[in-house]
Amino acid sequence: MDSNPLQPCLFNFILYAKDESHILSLQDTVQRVIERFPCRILFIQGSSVPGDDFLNITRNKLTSNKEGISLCCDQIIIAATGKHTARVPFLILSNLMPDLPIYLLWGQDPTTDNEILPSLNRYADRLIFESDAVGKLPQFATRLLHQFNHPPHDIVDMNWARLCNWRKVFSHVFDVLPHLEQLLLSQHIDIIYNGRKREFCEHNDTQALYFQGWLAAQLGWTFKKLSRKEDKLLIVYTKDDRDITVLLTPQQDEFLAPGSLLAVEVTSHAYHHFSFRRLDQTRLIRVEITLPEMCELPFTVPLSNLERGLQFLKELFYEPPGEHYQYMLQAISKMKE
Amino acid sequence: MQTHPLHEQTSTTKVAEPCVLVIFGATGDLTARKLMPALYNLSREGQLPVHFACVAFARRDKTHQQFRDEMLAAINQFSRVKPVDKDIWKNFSEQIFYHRAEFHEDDGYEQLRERLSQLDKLFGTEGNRVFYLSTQPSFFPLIVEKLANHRLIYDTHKEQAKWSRVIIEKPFGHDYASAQELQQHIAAHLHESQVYRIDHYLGKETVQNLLVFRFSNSIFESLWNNRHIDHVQITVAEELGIGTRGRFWEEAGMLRDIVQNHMMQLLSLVAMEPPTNLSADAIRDEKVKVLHAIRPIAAHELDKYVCRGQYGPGYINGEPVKGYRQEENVSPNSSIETYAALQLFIDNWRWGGVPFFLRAGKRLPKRGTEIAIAFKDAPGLLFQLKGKKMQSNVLVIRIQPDEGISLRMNCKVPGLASPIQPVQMNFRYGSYFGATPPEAYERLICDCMLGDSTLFTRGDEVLASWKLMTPILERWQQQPPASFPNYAAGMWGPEEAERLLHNAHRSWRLM
Repeated sequence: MDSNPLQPCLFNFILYAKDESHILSLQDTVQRVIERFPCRILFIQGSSVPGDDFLNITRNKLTSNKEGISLCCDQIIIAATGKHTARVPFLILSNLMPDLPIYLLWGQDPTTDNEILPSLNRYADRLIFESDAVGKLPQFATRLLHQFNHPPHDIVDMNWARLCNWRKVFSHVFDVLPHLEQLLLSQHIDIIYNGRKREFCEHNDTQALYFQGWLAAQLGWTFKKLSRKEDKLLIVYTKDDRDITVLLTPQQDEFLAPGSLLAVEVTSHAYHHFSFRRLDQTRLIRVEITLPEMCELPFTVPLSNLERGLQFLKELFYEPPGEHYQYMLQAISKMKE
Repeated sequence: MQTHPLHEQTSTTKVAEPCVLVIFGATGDLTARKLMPALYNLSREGQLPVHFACVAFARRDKTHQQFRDEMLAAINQFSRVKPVDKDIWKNFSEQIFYHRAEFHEDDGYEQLRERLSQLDKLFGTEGNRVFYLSTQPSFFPLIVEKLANHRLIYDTHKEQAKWSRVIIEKPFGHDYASAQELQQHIAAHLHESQVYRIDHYLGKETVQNLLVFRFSNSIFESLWNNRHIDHVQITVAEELGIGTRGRFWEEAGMLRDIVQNHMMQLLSLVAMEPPTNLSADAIRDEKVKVLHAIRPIAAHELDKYVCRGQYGPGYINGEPVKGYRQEENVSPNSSIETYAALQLFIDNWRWGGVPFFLRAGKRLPKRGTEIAIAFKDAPGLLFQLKGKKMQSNVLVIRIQPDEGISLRMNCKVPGLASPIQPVQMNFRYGSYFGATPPEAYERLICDCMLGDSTLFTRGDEVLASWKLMTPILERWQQQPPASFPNYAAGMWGPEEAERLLHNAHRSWRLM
């Protein structure tokens, strides 16, 4: 190793992925990060090919010149499999920049693939999970709820971060009392999400599940049952002796990222209907509110921050972990088929 | 009040309540250059409430669409992020309306009230109002009175379900008496909590960082006093001249336009004690204490501690420029200052004996606003070479441009000998965070909608700084300057300013 390393100045960013397609996906995340934050990237790359047994270490400089600002990060790629995996934490420790925060992005399922996770997470100031790589979401939610206290960490979930815009829009629209009252009387919710798959993804309905889990947690619904019909998922909740049904439906969209929400429709017991629909190839959501006796004028709401993923990155690195995420996880952990 | 179940009020996400923003004087320069681009960017970043509308109140005859088209052109020119996104603009422009009326006519306010009522129904703005007075200050009392008379602003004691706020642009008066009179006019109709006096410097990221820098880094707080600091220099330098603002400048001058407000805000942030909490009043209380602790300059000492200047012809970036007296709408015998420098003392335990040097000027060699904290020399003679002193440590907070913080310190030059070289440790905002920060007006408008007055000036702050500046202005009025212009454009100000520091055994930083 070079004894005179480069000097990043904001944080150490450790990433871990094993599958090739996921490694490629995280490289996109790395690209987004280096466009904004001068940092040291330590990318641990495993292999899902049985029998692979190697250790390779490469270092390079990553530069970005965006909006007239030149940034320089350094990247260390540690490709390790088999018996060499045990050496990874030692390699990481000796290459961390001192006095800077350490963010660890775990790109695999922490409930099943966690050989080196315990060695690394005790140094991390912030744990970031890619829940798209998770097999069983309720088990993942349970694991994370446990993680919140052992040891205390900031915990961030990429899908929760991806949902920040939709959550904000939803809370803004239901900011007025009459609308909120109808939301509290929800009878049925349709969530349509992008069914286009990513190679490494076990499933692509995480954002949709998180979104309805968030509503369930915040609005005080109790899980009743879950069933699948073809590719749709029907979840039933109860509150105050009435049922609330949530239907998750995939739909193909080539423009948006896999798993992104495309539309949310809320119908209340008083037959007020709220429709949120993402307009094609824009960052706008069209909102239409229909009451039994009239229709309000539709309006559009922008999804915040058009700069390439800046809001998303702020969610990953700077947003303090909120209670809503924990409550949502509690709701998800109770969902059993 | 019960928290909305979907709102998560973490430190980085704030949700502004539904409201209508009414801009008085909306056909003026400020709306085109600053306000509308700020609102557009807030909309673009999802920071405007969903339930929002904007009404432009002005005298000229226009339709809604004409005004929207003009604002589109302005945003295309002045927005910090370009080009304008057509989808975002379409959505945002549908929330902008034009209301033609005269400031003094009651009908206009009645019609405004009806329009706002309709907008409440259309956009769900719930009766909440922000009135932005982007007009000549002489109109402030009239507009506030009309708003009150037509029940467009609410009595805070009687109305709990909805709120109204008024944003006022500087100048807040032109001396102590007029500021006091303005304050009384406003207070007759508004509670202080409804008044938001804008000093756009407070909206700058780097100025906000002053509090974070001082109070989240323990290392500096122990040095931040007269035991370790030799003096403080605060500079606001502009390379531009007065442009087409001759008429305004002939009434204002540098002391009124920059020193009384922006520089006193910077000084109070640098010198204040830690607040007990981060509420608006806790912070502003500490700022006011600083202002009250500044030693007024006695009349017989004005020439010793204050100087003024006016630029003559010279060169900026190698190009010839005319002098102030040759500018448009400026009297050829004008005695208005385009440069002011002061030495102030803060008489409290922390700062006793530490001079604060302030300078502000037009047509200086380069643009820059900075605060330089010059530390005392290291004791002893350990590293002096042939009697030559080492450079003292200087912490520089660059407000604009090249926003950041640097620390000058001494290091040994590698080698067998031991020469000492001053070096700079440098933090640059732009390099570290790689994003275009929000403009000051974006932050300030958003904060007003949130009801957070931390970054706005309180009435007593305004009066305290006018109390310090008014005797200087009166003296200058009584005694015209002997030799204007007294510095060439492109130089760092008049000789008198150099002498100001030379007499104090210091010198101005070369920026």
